[in-house]
Amino acid sequence: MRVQSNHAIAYMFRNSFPLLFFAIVPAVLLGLFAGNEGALRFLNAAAEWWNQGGVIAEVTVGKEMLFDFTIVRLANVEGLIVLVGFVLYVFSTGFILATVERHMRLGVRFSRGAIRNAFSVMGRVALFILLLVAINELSMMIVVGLVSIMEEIGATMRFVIVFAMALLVLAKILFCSIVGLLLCSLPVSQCDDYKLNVAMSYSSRLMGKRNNIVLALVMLFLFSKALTFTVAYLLSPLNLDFIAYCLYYLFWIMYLPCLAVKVYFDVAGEPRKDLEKQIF
Amino acid sequence: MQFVKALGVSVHNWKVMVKALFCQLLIIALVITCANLLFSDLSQQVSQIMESLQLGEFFRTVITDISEGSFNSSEFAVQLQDMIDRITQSIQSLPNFLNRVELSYIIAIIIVCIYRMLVSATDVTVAYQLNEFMTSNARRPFTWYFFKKFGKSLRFTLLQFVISGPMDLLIIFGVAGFYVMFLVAFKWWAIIPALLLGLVLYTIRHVFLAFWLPTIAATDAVSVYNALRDGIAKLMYCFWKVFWKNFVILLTVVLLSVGVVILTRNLPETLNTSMVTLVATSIISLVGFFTMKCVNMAEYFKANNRPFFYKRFNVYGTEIVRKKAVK
Repeated sequence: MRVQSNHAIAYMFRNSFPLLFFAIVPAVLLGLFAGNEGALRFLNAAAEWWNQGGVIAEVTVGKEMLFDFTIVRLANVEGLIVLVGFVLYVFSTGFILATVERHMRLGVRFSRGAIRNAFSVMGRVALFILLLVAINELSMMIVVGLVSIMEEIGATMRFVIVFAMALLVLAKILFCSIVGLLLCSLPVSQCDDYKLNVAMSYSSRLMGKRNNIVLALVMLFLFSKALTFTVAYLLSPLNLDFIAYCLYYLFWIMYLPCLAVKVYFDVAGEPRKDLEKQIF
Repeated sequence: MQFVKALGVSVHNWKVMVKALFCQLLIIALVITCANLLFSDLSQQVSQIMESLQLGEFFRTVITDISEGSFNSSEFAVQLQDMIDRITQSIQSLPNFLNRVELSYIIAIIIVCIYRMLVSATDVTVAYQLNEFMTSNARRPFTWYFFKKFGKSLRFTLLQFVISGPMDLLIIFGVAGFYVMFLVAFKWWAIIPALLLGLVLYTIRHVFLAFWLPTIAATDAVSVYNALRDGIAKLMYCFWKVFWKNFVILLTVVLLSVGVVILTRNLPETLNTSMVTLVATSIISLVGFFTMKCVNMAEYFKANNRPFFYKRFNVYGTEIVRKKAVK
């Protein structure tokens, strides 16, 4: 018998059954239909342009990126399914948050109270996720615009490709830092019953002093992206690359709420009831 | 002395200027992407049109001719006519849904309006930051002010466009009329007085709205329109003092821009000359306009008999106190 680890990732794998139950459907929907293959396609194309000497007529990097990274990537038949996926994502995040919070506070893994709690915060969860999606899309649009400006000025294609890659990574790092700063806002909003904007402000104050968590989140995000793209690239000849994307979404849908609640409990200094049970 | 202190304000707030520049760059990038999304090729076509207009080439020829003394007014009239023809053709070649010429003109006017409004999108934020610095030597986050005062910025840009647009048109037509009148009487050298008159009129237009932004920032509760009214009322007591300082800055901006236009004659083939010139002159003018804002702010403080900080002061010991408070 031993004491349980208090890390969020350990919690996630220990309690993966109830979390999987909530997360699997949105993860599969988003993994299949959210236009994930655009980034890999762009990377492939960029490598090809680079090899051909970086002078391709009739190709503008900004225009190509517009179709691979911005909201346009959803603008086909699958657009509606992605919308359904996001709605389910909101519901699953709400349920996971409420379940995890209840589990950590009371030591009860499943309860009807958790479901009731989840519905009481669903509006805030939806608003929060909408905000994050909007920030992500805006940052991608800004990246595409900057690349277009660089092309208009007359930079060479190789330079534009390098510039675009650097900007993409920078935008992702910034986006992830914002997520890290706002990490605690949903648990704060749920447990202390603050309004979402107050909770976000409070969360950024709390997390501003815990740079290591934000940094770890950024590193984990970049690592998971790289791993996903590598696996997807290896699986793409078999047309099985969607498995990598599904796993990617599954991991983040399950992990982020666990991390948020765990960090909130650490910050608030509340004892975690779920750790009292010893395991083998 | 006051002028030097005002320049000190601008030097000590260079970070605000860089942030404003960066913010405008991001806004422009966002607008370009939105335009690409909505009109597929619009931004590319606009840039092609800018290139085919050869505005930089036109100005470069005129400036070189004037500096060498070989300026020919009849040739200039032909060049100007060509220029206007090119602009008309470019506007007509703008794509639209219905293939109607009128719609192309409307799109061109909308593009100009959007550009005019974007140029001043960060003005209110900068004014608030300067006001904060000059009254209490404090610095608050730029982004925070940008989002907090976004509504006010929008109202300001809209009203500013409505007021200054007709004034700009008046100046252009007035200077053109002056030039034509002098062309008949004095022949070739009339271009220089016409340019000077244009600069003076443009400065007067700027000075007319000089106290608007300081009033918005200093009296936070007042609406944008009332701030304009109060600003103009206050300005009447010190118009010429503000005028010559603004004139000096604008003259410097114009001279530097002329220098850039002459210097960018022989760029490498790979670079798009007109775009490089455009970017360089925009940066120069943005720096100049930032300095003008600082000068106007200082003048506003003087007019209201208020002292102001022109330098950053660091007080020893604040970090220790803050650390203790956190503990």
